Amino acid sequence: MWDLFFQPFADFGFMRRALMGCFAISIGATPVGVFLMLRRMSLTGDAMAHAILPGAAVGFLVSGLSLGAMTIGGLIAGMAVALLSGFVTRVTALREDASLAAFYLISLALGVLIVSTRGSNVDLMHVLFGTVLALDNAALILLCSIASVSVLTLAVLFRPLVLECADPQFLRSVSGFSAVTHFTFLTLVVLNLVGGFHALGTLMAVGIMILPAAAARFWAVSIGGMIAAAIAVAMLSSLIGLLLSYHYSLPSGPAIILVAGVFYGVSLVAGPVGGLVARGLPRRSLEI
Amino acid sequence: MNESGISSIRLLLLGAGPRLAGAALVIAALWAGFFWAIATPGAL
Repeated sequence: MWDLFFQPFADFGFMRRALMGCFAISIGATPVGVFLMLRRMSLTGDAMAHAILPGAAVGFLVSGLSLGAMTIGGLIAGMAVALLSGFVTRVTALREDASLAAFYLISLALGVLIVSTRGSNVDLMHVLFGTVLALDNAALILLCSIASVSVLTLAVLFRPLVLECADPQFLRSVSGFSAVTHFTFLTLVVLNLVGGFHALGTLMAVGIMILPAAAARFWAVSIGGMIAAAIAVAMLSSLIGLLLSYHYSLPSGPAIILVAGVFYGVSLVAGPVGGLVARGLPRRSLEI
Repeated sequence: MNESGISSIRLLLLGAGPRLAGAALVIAALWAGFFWAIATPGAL
């Protein structure tokens, strides 16, 4: 039992740092994922994850695999794509999903082009799939800081965010927080994706954000309950994924996301709130 | 302050205390985990 579950973390510092990095992403990114899902913006998260790639690639071009340069580059690129797609939607006939899709595809192609012309295939794999087992102290500080900022911001803006999910028109009519809330939320999305990309890569970072949120939808009714369930699913996925990766020599990022996928599958079938089994059970006549 | 400003502030403040206390606990646990991860000796 000890060998199976605890020995990797007791013996190896890189495993502890990987676990803590994943826990930090779970705490910071999954609540953002819950709000993305409730706002029907899950695919926006995916698009934004790809959109940070050229910025990170330019950071890589300027200073190699530097944490700071890639983080700042990713943040600038992500925010630029979010703002540009919003601008295009307002001034042209193109809908937001189409303009976002156009910008993120251009960004993805540009990012891969930059990394592959100046770096090796190993560098490209590092950017696309992350290096969760190679997180150093600086990366861990970045991930914990992003998680702290996210948790604090969500605690302050919780009610405006909930209102914007349920009834944006009402929020606009009762307060001046609508635009601030939307912009802060987009910043949180980009910030968490940039943090997640260091550990899980641009392709996998959105997985730890959306899959636990989607699974939590089947276990809780309230938004607070969904956030708690999503964080629990993400942390368990991280732990089990890392252990599977350690014992069976699997790539750790995909292992973590696949375990989250299994949790989603189980929730889909057995979740008490709208899961397949719960829907199939006969209800009493006056039960909603 | 106009009515919209007052309702905006009220919107933020309602239930903010317990939420911020919960957030502080989570952040404290997170950083405790960080120090555990970097400080405990290990092979690598």
